[in-house]
Amino acid sequence: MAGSVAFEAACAELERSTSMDRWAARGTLQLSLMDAGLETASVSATQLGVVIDRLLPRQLQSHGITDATTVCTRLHTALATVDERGAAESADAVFSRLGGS
Amino acid sequence: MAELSLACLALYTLSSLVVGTRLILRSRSSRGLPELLMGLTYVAASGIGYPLSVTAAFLPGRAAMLGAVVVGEVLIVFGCSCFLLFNAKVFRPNAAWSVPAAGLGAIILAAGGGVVIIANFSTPDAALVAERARSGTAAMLLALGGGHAWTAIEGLRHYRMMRRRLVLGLAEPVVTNRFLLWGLTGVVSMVWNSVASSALLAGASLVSHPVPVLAISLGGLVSAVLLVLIFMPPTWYARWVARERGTRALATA
Repeated sequence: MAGSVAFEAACAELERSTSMDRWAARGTLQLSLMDAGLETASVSATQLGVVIDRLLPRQLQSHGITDATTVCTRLHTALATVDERGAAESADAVFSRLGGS
Repeated sequence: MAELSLACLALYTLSSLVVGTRLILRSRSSRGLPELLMGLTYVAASGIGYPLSVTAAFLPGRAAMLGAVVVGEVLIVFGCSCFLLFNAKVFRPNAAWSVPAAGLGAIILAAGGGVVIIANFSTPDAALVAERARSGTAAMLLALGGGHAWTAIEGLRHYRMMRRRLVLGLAEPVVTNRFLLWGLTGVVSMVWNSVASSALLAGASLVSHPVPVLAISLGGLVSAVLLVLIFMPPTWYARWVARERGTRALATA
């Protein structure tokens, strides 16, 4: 299944910014998303931003990438231009609204 | 037994009507499809359709009984179809299989409801009606059981994911708890559905035998309580969930 617009943008930028190939970049981001309880198909740019700050640096270091801070900054820049209009509403957004919170 | 079953049924009906009506009203202001689908589910199937089909046999006159059966079955099929579509649209919006799966469930429900209606029109003999309607009712329970299993799996799966998000500040405790309750609704409904299916296979009537009626009513009652906590959580409950989460976070720290 294809990832969300934010996920695809982050994967492309991660591939450009590191020596990782397409599948390694996707796998690295997917592992971080799994740790965060998020899914590639529905993750938003905001959620991905938190994952990049909190979880991705550790994953990048395990891949031998020393300049994780620069890579994460580039990913944030890529996510800033993502257009998420038209994306399906996530289940947590629906449940947040249904209960009135 | 009969009085207890009726009391449970009345409470279940009332809770479903209140929750369902509130969701439909909310959908008018939010223009959200999910709340409309769930509202229609609880008003049509649980609030009107099911109690109508249970009480149809006790109505005076065959015409009134048949009218209640037709309206009841149509509302049950419609409401349960909305429920299946809710699961597809909310939990699997990007999956190619989800809406067709919900559509298949709706077709099975409609076919089952049709068999039940035809059985009621074919003879005034209640025992013969139960015998002729058995395959239709079994088909409906199968489709509904599938829907409840889907609900349980998605609810508990999302609860597990939301707990991870909580650690990162990407989720609210109340919404996380809501997914747990939603999953439990599916589990409870699967239990009463299994009891009803077993009773049906044993030859018991789902609308007059006390065991399935009680199981369905009690299951519905527990579901109704869960639904109130999901869709209309009282302030004290929301505070309790948030406080529990805060206590656990402190303990972890």
